[in-house]
Amino acid sequence: MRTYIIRRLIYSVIVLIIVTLLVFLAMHLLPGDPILIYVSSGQLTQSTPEAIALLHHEYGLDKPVIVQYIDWLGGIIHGDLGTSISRHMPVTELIKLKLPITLYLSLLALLVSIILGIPAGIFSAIRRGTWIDNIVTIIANAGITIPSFWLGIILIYVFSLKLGWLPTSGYTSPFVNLGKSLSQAVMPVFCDAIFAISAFTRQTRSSMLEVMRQDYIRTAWSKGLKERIVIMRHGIKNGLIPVIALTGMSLSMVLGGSVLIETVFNIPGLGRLLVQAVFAKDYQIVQGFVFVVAILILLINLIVDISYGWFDPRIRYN
Amino acid sequence: MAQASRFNIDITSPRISEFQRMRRVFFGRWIVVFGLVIILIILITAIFAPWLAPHDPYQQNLDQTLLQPSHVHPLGTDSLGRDTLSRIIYGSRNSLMVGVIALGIAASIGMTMGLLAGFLGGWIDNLLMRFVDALMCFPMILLALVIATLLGNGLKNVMIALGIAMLPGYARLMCAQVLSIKENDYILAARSIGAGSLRTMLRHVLPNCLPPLIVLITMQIGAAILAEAGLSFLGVGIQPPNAAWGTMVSDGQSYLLTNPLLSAAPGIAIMLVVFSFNMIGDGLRDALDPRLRGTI
Repeated sequence: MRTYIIRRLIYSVIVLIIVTLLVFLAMHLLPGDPILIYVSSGQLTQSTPEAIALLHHEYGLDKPVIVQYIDWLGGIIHGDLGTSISRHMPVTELIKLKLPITLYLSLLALLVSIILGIPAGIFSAIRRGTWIDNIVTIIANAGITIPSFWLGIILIYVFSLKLGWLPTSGYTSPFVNLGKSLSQAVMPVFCDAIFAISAFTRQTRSSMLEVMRQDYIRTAWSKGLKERIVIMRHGIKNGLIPVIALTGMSLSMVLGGSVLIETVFNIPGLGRLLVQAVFAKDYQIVQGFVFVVAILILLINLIVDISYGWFDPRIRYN
Repeated sequence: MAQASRFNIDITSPRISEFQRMRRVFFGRWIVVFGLVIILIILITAIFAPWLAPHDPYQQNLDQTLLQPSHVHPLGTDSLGRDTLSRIIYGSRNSLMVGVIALGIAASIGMTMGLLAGFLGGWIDNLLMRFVDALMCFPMILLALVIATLLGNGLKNVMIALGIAMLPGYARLMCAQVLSIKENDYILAARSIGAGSLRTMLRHVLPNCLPPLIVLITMQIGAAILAEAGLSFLGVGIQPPNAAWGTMVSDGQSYLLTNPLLSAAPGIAIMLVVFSFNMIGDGLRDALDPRLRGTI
């Protein structure tokens, strides 16, 4: 197990280095000089060539690309992701400010998708062919079809504008006002989770069906065990192994979805920051954001891989 | 045999050919046929849009803005007085085109990478697959958003962005397929009668790897259309006045209280197309490889 963990760690570091390289190179292929965009947006009073050159120098944009990359990498190690050109703020500060909001909603969404998706999948599998199974399958199929941003708008129309049950948009920290925070989070979290809920349901259902066909399940039945014991002790334990792998992918889905959901519900998180940065052509923010998300996903995948190796010893020796 | 009995077809029966069996399985579920019919209808409306759309989708009528549905405008008009139904019909062109071409890019590049990595192994495998692993660290929509910004707006760039963002899945699946196919005796047989690497790879390994990939491609057209809608919702990609379903949903958001249909209708169009492609994918999966049922 230890060699397995060490191998996974080394592998993650290699991937992380490639990630930094990709992020950095991609951002430097962006068309348009960020300083000129900054100048033309009227944020600088003097736009003389000297002033522009000075700004280039100040942000290190006059150095060779490879030096800029090494500077950037060195900065990251010290927790410095550069300075946002459009917001005149260190990117690390901005991310510190916005990340908790996005993480709060995304982790809630992940939690909701696991809590709803896995039991629905198990239930649907053990009641295969009944009306319950049919309804669950139809909902799960619809869930991977609905555009999350559209669902958000429809929910706002029904629950906020027509029924007046929930606030239309906004965000409140759960530490400031838990009730308000949760009532504002209900719709965004559900919309962000809808795809993951369906993915969990489908994956759980199919892997449970696969497990319930195995010989040892038949043996368990023939021993005269109760249905509950067969399903809980023999079925679910093995059926959920492939589902674990989905956790990493789901976090990726909900983090990606936050870009859309935060726009719909006007939530001042990382997703909206990214969209604004994309339009302002603010490299540093995009770079920092993408990098932070990649680290989060790499981390959860590492955890998933290790727990996978824990649950299924065969994986370790591959 | 447990697999076959689910479709009520005896696959060992010598009387039906493999193709007939696949056709029967594919057309055996009504929901698959439904998906196919919907896609055909949408394809026809996309091709014949100029004749089928009741109005010019770009014609602004500032004295006829935000009209409720009527005989003249079955789905009403938007804030610039353009006919919603006509814009949805024209929007189908963009959605279908983006979905199919983005998938073409993703599948062709991804599959080539997977084939090379799986077949050649060694440092090429390491290099290509670590690159793919790095791409997998970014959520798909995010990757597409960043690449689309990088390339600049426009239909073509959205296709390329989505193509790159979606290629990791193909590279991985292809690589895994090649690794398992490579171990078969018939590959050894081909090598032993003197087939070269290239010939073995293209004639013997590649064709046997394809079934699950074909299924994945069909299933992901829907995902590509969904992602394109998300990008145009954010304002990246297809630019106005060009009609895109995602943009229409976004534009309608401001008039939600008075004209909910402006946002609702294009969303329903997206769902219908995505659902239909998913169902065709399901049907193909069952037909090509019943063992995969419920797994992809």
